[in-house]
Amino acid sequence: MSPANGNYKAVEQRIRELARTALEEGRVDYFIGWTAGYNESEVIPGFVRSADKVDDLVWNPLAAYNLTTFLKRKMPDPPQAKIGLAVKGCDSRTLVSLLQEELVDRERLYVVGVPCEGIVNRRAISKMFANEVVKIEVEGDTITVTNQDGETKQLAREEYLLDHCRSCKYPNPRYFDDLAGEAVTEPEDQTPMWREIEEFEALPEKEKDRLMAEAFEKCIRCYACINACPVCYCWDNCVCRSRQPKLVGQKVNAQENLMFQMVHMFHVAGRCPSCGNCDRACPVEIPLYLLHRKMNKELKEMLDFEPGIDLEQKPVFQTFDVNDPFGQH
Amino acid sequence: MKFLPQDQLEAFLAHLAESAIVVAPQRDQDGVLFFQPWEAGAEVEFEQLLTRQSPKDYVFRQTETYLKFGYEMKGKAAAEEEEAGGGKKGEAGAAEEAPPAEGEEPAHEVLQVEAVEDAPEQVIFGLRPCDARGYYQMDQVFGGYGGFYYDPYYMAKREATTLVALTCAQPWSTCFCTAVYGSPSGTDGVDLLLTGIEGGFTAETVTERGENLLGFGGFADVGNGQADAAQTVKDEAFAAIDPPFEIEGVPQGLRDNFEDPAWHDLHMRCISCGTCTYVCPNCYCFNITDEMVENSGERVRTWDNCFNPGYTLETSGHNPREQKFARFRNRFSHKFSYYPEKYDSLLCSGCGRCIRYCPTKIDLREVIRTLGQPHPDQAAPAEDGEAAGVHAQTGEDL
Repeated sequence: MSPANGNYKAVEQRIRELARTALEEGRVDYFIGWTAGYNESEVIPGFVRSADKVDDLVWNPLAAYNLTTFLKRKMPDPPQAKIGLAVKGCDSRTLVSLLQEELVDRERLYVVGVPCEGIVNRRAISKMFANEVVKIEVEGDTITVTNQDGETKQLAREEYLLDHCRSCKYPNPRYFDDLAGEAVTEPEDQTPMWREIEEFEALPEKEKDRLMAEAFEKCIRCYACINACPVCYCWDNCVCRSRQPKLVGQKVNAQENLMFQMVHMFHVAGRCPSCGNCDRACPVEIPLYLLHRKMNKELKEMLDFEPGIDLEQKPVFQTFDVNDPFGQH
Repeated sequence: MKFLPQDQLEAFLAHLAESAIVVAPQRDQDGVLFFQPWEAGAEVEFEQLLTRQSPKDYVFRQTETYLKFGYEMKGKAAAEEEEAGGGKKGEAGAAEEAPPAEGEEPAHEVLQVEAVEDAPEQVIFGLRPCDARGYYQMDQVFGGYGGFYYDPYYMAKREATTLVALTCAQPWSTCFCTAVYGSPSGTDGVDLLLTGIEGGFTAETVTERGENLLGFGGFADVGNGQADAAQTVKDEAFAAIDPPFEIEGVPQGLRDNFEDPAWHDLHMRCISCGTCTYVCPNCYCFNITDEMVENSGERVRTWDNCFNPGYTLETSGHNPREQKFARFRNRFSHKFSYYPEKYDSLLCSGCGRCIRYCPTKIDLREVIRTLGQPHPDQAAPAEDGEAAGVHAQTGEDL
């Protein structure tokens, strides 16, 4: 990942201008971007319906939420709303996955691409204080954190990025109509990093079982992960909630919870670029992102496939190639 | 009022653990704070204000097993089935044709049912007054208030539970208990209230159950100025919360604004998961399922939530709350309008977890501010045509 140019304000201004123009010209009915949360340590999804509200939109390294999620619910619906949407690199890959499978209508979309230099790990930061973190500010390579007593801490930005940002290959959006700012330098080494997965794979089987049970024991089956997931689209008809037929048990325990998570992992395989929206939505902080990361590693190694890279790419499970790496075995 | 020196805290926990399960806030492997059964030597964390979830699971279990059951074949057919190497229920057709011999039982299926009772003595230690108030509010629902339903499963656990609450010294920006008739040192549902001051905690008994805990030898009489110090902590905490809305009139306001177009705006970023309800100390909706494997199983009650698309799905296939905005509206209306019409409280104790842990930070305070003001002169509710207009205009989703 390239060093931060810290040009967040300029990009933010550009997002506002593009959103304003799109709203004024009637290109979109509403624009989905990021806006301020309940305090200055949070940035949340924001829906802007009129040009005079575009200054509510913000862009900074707290804008973690993948807004593509909101499309899966809206796009198939009859009112034919035209939607504007801001996407980062990883967000755009989930959008590309949906477009490849013709699950959203490209004609009704206006996409503003946001070159991204990494999102900060708000959860890791908020655990540094026992009391409330009220402000997180990023300038250049420094994160300044303020708690409710007014105490501050300075952190190196590089060390407090989300895990998947640190090994991100595609910081620039893969699909957009307009780009809000200069593309950032993409890393030259395009080999994905699987360090945390390889560490897990190397563990003895019993230890893996123990860690999985420990992680999924605390799942509360709120379904925030699947509802926050932009590419998990069965939506109101998920087998995990279905009672007729009954495929996944309703008891909340490590075994049933793991079953549910496995359904999610396998069902989004090939569409999920592990953007981490599930992981950040989880209220009990299960490191769900690792599950999807593992699936991405398998796809890369077995089928030489990376989800959501470009529109022309065929969804992996709609193709068969005897020459793929798995076929060579 | 008594005083518990800091160095007596662990001994007090150990004392309580002799006769009950002690549940206290502890960090898990990921550093997240939860209420967990305490064992001697485990580190208890009282510094962080709120645990991730309220401790309601210890009384209103997320998975409550009502009973275990099993079907078994008895009589002639069953014996023959066994000889034939077993078989599935209902496949013993051939055997049924031959009448049973004299004195022999005809083939029949027997249902065996075993009740599950699980209500150990427990002390929930270090919960906040808003968490305790959550029980107080659920007690009305499950405890037969006003002649309504009495739930033996919830009440057995509740009656075996002692709540030792801890005054909040420093509320978070999402706290709003004082706006909903609560307080950082409130005592609704509480048995014993601790307040942290220099060197330890003052202890005030609220109920007889709480009084009984003072039998522990580590308590001292309150010393010079300690009661005043505790009062200062309480007053400062109360003053630190700026009530985000005026509660008077909110129940009527939500009624008046049932058809308000603002609902269609506010729900937009809601992803319809159940996080807000599952971290909430008050939400009590549940579902009942028979979990069966082959011929035996369990009848379980599990938490449900109004964002679940099947929440009000009727057997006809009709769902009065098929649209997400209607489910969204239900959560706030239930807490601030429907519940208070029936019971003697609101269904919110102002902990603010729903704001903080919502994946998209839907802000209950904003919803109540926007839609909780009564409109005495309001025109008739919107006609269907108008509602459809909103639908077309906003791209309302299903």
